[in-house]
Amino acid sequence: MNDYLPVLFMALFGVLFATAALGVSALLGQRGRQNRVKNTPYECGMPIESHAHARFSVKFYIVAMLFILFDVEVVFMYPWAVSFGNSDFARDAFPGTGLLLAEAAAFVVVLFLGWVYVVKKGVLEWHQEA
Amino acid sequence: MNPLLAQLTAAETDGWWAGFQAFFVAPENAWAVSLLLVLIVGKTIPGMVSLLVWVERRGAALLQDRLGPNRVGPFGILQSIADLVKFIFKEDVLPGHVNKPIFLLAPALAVIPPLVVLSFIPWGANVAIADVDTGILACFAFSSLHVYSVSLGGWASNSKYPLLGGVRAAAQMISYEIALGLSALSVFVIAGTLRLHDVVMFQTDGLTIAGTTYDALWARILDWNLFKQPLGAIIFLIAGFAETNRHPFDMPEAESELAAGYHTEFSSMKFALFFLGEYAAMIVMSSLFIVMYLGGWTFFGVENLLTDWVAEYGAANPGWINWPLIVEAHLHVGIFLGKLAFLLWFFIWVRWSLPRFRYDQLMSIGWKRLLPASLLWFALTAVGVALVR
Repeated sequence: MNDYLPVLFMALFGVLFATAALGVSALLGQRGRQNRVKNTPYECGMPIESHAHARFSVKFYIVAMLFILFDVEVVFMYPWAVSFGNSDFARDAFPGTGLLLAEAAAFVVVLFLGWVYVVKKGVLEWHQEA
Repeated sequence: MNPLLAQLTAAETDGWWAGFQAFFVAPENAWAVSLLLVLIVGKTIPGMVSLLVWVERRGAALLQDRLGPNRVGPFGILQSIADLVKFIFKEDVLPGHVNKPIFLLAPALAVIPPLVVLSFIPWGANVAIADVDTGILACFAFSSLHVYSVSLGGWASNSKYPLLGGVRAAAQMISYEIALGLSALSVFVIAGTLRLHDVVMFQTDGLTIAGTTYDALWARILDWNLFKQPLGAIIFLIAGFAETNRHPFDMPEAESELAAGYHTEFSSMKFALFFLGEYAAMIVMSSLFIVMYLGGWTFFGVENLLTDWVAEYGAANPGWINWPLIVEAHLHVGIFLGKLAFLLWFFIWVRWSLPRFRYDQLMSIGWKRLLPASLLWFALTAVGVALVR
């Protein structure tokens, strides 16, 4: 855990830096008058139309779900990659290089089939109405 | 030994100077060295960013045949300092319609993750703030936190265009993260380690083809992962551009469609922090690319010029700070910064040369081109490694 202590230092430095920057600006910044127009959302000077939290395409949620599926699988492949790339481990390991490769192949094929399904379903077609 | 250094170390064998050296050499005080490095890196990054902003503006002017900032200082080099002063003294607008805590949290979150990731980067053989064995995974874990600043910034603004910008940015960043992770994966298949220091060393140990290790200059050049992983490197670079919201993937702040995207409602220092975060993320991406594909701090043997001197001095002066080691660290960091300067210029060069993609093009490049291409490359790499072994 000692290896990660400097990371904590850096995170603390980041927090202090951000706080100081925001604090300096709040303390030294020009004080302007508040008025109703200034407090409205910025829409390039046009009168505001409709509520800010309008509905947006459901595609964004689908992309988020796909991200979770695919990214978790990518993370699962990292331990495999390191064990496979480490020649000592791959030679001495029980399954041997061939089986290690076959296991990864099965995993990647399933991932790829999932990707084909997603594409065929038209999930990634952004010009169509959802 | 260098006479100046001999004088420096022989001058006082006791007193505060000896105590000072003994303090930094003692293994239990390694935290102090780390803290010093944290301060150096943390203080350098904002300076580097302000220089980078100036280079970007002058570079844009150069490429577009106009003048760029040229009023403040010679060649306008102090422009960023003037901008900083202005950021500090401008009115700190906190609009009434925003969600205040999150509105203030978002700019802070833009700066902290890139800074934390920089603590994992090996700047030189002995210059890394934290040389951890999870290496690249830790980098990805922290750099993906950047998406929170963008999406929370857009959401907390309670305003139409920032919300759309934030949502777009979130979808874009997570989409390209998959291609980024997959293309990087192939590097670790051939390197067999996640520790970034070892990945750099892997690119300098000479090229091994069919059991024979070649050590000539051509082999040293081809030993860079850029040449062993050409497609992976290109995918990583493209995904890196998208991940940092840079042109041609800067949809989150497409001015013509979204005002200024997720940071429309932010002013003064809050805006400056978003800006700093974007450029710091660029530095992070470039550094990761250098470490993984461009041989890190090494340059075909130049990095080893001082090794003998360091060893000699270390043997002659046990219990002292190894000053030649610090000189060597400067050499390594210098090489690293040279590569970094080139890559950062590449970012700027691309920004002012290419037009922006449309949003549907952007998503289909990420999901339909880069993802299968990186999967294919991963499969090829794995089979290749198995065959070569």
